[in-house]
Amino acid sequence: MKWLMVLMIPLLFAPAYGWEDIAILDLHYENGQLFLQEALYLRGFYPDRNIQPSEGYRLAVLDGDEEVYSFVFRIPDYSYVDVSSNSELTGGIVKLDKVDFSLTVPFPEGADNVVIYDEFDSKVIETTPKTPTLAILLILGGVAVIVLLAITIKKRRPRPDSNW
Amino acid sequence: MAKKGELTGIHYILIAATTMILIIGGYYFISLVLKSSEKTQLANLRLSMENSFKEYGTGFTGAPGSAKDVSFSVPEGVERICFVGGGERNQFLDEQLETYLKEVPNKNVFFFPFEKFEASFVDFFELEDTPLCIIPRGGAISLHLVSTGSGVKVQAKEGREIGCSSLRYSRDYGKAVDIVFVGSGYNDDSLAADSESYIATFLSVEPFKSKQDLFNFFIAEGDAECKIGDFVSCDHFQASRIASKCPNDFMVVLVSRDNVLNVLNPVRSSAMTNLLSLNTADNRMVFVHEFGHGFSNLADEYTDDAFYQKSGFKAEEYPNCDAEDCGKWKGKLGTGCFGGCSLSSYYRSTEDSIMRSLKSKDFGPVNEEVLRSYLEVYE
Repeated sequence: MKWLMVLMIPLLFAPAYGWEDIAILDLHYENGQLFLQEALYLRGFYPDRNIQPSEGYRLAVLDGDEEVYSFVFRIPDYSYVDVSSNSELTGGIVKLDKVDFSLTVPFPEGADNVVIYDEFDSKVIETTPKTPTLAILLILGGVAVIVLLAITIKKRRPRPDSNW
Repeated sequence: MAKKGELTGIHYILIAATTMILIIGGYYFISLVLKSSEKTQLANLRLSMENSFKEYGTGFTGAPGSAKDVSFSVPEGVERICFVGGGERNQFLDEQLETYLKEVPNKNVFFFPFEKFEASFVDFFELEDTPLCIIPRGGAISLHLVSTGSGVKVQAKEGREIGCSSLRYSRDYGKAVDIVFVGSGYNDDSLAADSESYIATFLSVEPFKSKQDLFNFFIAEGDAECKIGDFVSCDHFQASRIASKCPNDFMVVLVSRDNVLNVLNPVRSSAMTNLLSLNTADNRMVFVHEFGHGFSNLADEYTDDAFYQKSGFKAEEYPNCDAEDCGKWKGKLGTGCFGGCSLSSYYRSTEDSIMRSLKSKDFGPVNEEVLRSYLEVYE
């Protein structure tokens, strides 16, 4: 039975977690495709995910080639909507063709990438969050200026057969 | 060969390299000057606060028990200031601050971002609860000082940041089901009281009642800005951003709604994975019902064929609905086989339950067993 097919990770082996560097991924799912809309990097908490489905999409946080964190999740393409009138409930499950949802994951020091694989283990999302600092941007900009100048000078240098 | 006075390639490269050195050097020089200026401003702020606390608190200008408001300019770039002292401690206010406190234990005023501004020690103040974090407004912080005779009791006049506060903390958050409440549309300070009433209802129901020590409850500061249409619709990303201030296995967004307005236009509460969006005008038991969906994949036991026929609902994917033989719970004490479980064509185990109506005060043996099996992970 599908409802029983969940991975219950014993707490003994669960990674210690708490207030740390995290990434919140803003995702959009539509027509069977998953898109990354935004990634927010900050300090905070993330869900322990002690209970996971046995199959579905898989997210991995990478430090180089090493997976430092991963979990399995299902696309939440359904929502329960309930309303009560005199304590009697009506409503039910709504199947969603498209949905926006987010995943909060640890993003420890050294981590450089978050990757999401679909049910068939194909990579569907990859993000590199590291942004260069102003100093690095200045140095890179400077190198670019020098290269451009060098190219310009080389072009302007007279050819050996010119009359100039 | 280059003529005298003509610039060659090497000259251009030298000029470019010199320009680059000047730019980088200039950048670092300006950074140093700014840093030095920030240091001076921070030192001035520290001195101003301490003098003010001392003068007002020790009786030079204020008699014990008297109070006054005072503002201090803060250096540009300071995002918030946290005072740390005696008083009741709220450990989840800011764990980054907690970490920093361990690194510099002899300081008691901290400036965000920590990497940019050095912490200070300021004398002659105490706090009612610690830390007291304030977000500067218009380049200043406003404090309310109450003279104690030996110093001042410091309160925030405005801009106090709550961050995350715990409502009920039973065990280490790595080993608990952490439920965080987030408000939407609250114009007053009733979110904490509302959250408490939801918690009381939740913990009055088995199996949660006898497993209370497995749950932590928190409030995270921020407005989830949910939309209200036929049902409450909260942005998962926005809710996650706010909830990340606290341990957050489950996010419960309370959408403040007027009872009278809700009678005229009833709005549905909803559950999507670990996000429960609740209409506060609705019955409190709706929280318990939605948690059953989100935590243990329990299906609705009421029937609404119009809704469920469109959703492709299959009883085999849920623990509490079955075909007419009710084989999933056959022989289990206190169960039967009652018609109607999400769809009229499926069957449920009890006449009534929280997954069927909010009049019921229990889940019934089948649902309770499922919930207990999920809770075992945390034991």
